[in-house]
Parts: sequence; structure tokens; C-alpha cells
Amino acid sequence: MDKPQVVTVRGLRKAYGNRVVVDGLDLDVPTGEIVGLIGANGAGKTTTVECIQGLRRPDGGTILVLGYDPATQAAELRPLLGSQLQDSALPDRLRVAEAIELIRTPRARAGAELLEQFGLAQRRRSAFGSLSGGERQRLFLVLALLNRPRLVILDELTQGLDPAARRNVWAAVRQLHDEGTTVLLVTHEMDEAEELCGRVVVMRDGRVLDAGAPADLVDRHAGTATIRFSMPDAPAPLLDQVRQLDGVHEVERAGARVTVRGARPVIAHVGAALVRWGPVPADLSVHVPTLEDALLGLLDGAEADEHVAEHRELIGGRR
Amino acid sequence: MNTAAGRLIRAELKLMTRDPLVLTFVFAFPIVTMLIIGGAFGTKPTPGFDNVNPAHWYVASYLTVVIAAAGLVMLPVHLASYRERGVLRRFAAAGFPRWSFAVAQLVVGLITTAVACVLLLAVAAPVYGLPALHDGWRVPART
Repeated sequence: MDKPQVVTVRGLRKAYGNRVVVDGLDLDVPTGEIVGLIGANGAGKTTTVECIQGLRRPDGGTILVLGYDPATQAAELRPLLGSQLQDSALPDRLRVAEAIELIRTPRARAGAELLEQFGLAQRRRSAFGSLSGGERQRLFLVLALLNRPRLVILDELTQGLDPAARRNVWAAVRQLHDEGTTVLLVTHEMDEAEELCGRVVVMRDGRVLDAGAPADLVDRHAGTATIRFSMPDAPAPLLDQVRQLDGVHEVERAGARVTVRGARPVIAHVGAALVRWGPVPADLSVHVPTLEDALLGLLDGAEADEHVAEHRELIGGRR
Repeated sequence: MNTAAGRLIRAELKLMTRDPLVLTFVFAFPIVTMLIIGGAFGTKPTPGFDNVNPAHWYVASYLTVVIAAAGLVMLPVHLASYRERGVLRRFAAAGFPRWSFAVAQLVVGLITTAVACVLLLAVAAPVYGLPALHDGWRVPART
């Protein structure tokens, strides 16, 4: 390992009754990185970060966070963590400024500055119950960053925020990263993970499906680009020419609409072919795979594998 | 008192004074009901009240209503809603040890009860008069 790890999880297991939520999970969060934990609802992401914060006791496996075991050394660990939890709240009648006074420790940064940065300066005297969803999220973020934590855990960070507020929050997370703080981000918003994370870990049914830089995941699981354009009476020679281009997987024609799928360099080749041919179609559009496509591809793949496994078991069972 | 528990107690006391439910059931309800019921039965000792002044009987009873309101209405509802809404988790993640909630609630409950009892007696004294305390040591022994 080149960088010291802030979080090291090995073989984490957690079940609620008979339902296994996290099943042999390994996770590393290197110092100073933004690591995203992504996956569909119910993949076990929140349970994992709750175990990391010592809010839940794992059934098996080991967790080490900043050198502490969260299950037994929560008191030492908590002051070093900043966290924003999913489905949590403050007392309705607690005011914004009072919440800051309540949570702050001697090593806290100036609350007023943070409130200013997140557009809450005007709401200092407002009760928590009167804040909008977005304001609550921003307040949680302020509280998470208040005590200069070494690791920040953000669970469903931008849920309920409008696009402008989301950009604001993303900028704040990037700033944290620039200051050297390590961030563990739980999300099912792929654009958020793509925008912020240096590394993402994809979870499904409590296990890690794949991990890596967002771009690598996209290449691995959603390598194809899709190009669409309309060309009434699309000439066969042009389509043949496109079909023979390097990396083209398929060319589809439905009426005037032409769809070309292939590896990403195909975008340039098709563009060049169209330019050579004549006037470029006005509705030319390109869809480049995103992390979301990669995730969908990955989850579909996992599901398909499972069906195969189930099928095999069935056959095995009959024998 | 800048420990976690200390900060929590201060915040909880402040929040309590903003809660209309607590102000009504712990402070106003026992006093108003004591005044009404005490007034209805008068202040003449009767055999039905063990030859005690009925108003005094009710002053004493409504002290227990204060305790019940704090113990049965205020604290459990408060704690249940904290747990359900994720406030406890939020505080736990912010570094407040679990015992600090229990301590804060206990202290806030005791302070509230004491203040409400003093208020009730302060209202009762000029209206019905308060009898002298017999066997003062039995009060803490009973509670």
C-alpha cells in the first residue's frame, strides 16, 4: 500500500435477524481521498458506514478507523469523525446557532464562517423544524465539518437539494479534499460519485461487486458509445462505410433514424465520415456512457450471473 | 459545565421551556385542576376526607400529578420521538456518549418536577393555605 489507510474493513458481516445485509465486505479508504460507496437501495451501504462510525456493532470481520476499533473505542474515535447521517434529525425547536454551540468542541472552526459558506447565515436564529429540506441538509454538512474532522462520512449528501444547492455542496466537498480531509461518500446518485470521487466501490447485496476510478469502471462495464442522427433515405454506401469503421459494433436503421453503437473512438470516426459525405445531420447526438450506465451494466451482469448460478444449482439439485 | 452531558442538559432545559405540551401538562394543568377541584370540595375538614381539609388533600394529590406528567408524559414521549426521528443517532454520531442522554433527561426531569411543585405550592399557599409539615423526613423516604 502506497498510502496509509484511514479506514480498513476486512470481512465485515452484519445481519438483522435472518437477513444478511453486509456479507464479507472489504473496504479501504486511503488518506486524503474521496471514496464513494455506491449501489442500489438496500445494498448495505448505510449499514456499512454505521458500523464504521460505531453506531452499529458488526457480527463479524474487523474494522479499523484512524487506528481505532469503532466497536470498542468509539469515544476516542468520534471526535475525529464528522458525519452526516441518512434519516437523522435534530430537535425541532433547537435553533441553528444553538445546534452549533451544542455540537462544537474546542478544536472547532468558526461556526459563523461555515454558516455563511452554506448560505445559512440568515437562518441562525431559526428553529430546526422550520428549515426546508435543503437547509437541513446544509446544516448537517456544517455540523459534520465543524470540528475539523480527519474523516468525513456523508450519507446521501445531496438528497432533497435543488441543483444550485447541490453544486454548492459539491464545491464544499472538493474544498475539503483540497484541505486534505478524507471523505467517505455514500450515494446512489451516480453523477455525484462521478463528479467527486477518485475511487468508487460498487456494492450489491452486501458485497463489493467492483471498485476503481469512475472512468475505469465506465470502461470496464459500459464501454460503448451511442451515436444517433436522422438522414432521410440514408444512402446504403454511407451506412456500409460506417459499418466498416474501426470499433463499430452495430448500425441500426429505423426509418430516417440511424443508430451507431461502438467503442468510444467511433464517435470521431463517424463524425469524420459524415463530414466527408456532405451536410452533417442537424440532430446528431452522442451518448457517452456514464457511471450510471456502468453501474446498471454491472448490476445486470451480477443478476445474470446469479440466475446462471441458481439454474446450475437447480440442475445439480435434480440430479 | 462544558462536558457533553452539561451541554446537553443546558440545551434540553432551553428546549423544554419552548415545548407547549410540557408547559401545559407539567406546569399549567396540575395548578388549574388543583384550583378547580380544591374549590369544589371547599376547605372544611369532613369525614369523607379523613377529617382533613379537602383543599389540602388535593394540593398534595396534584403534586403527584406533576410528577406523573413529567415522568409519564414528558420524558417517554420526548425520548421516543428522539429515537424515532433519528435525533439520538445524530447526537451519538456527534460524539455524545449514550449515557449522557439518560443523565440529561434525568436532570431535566428532576428540575422540571421541582420547579413545577414549587409553583403549585406557591399558587396554593395564598388560596388554600398550606399546613405545616409533619414528619419531614418521610417525604424523601416516600419518593
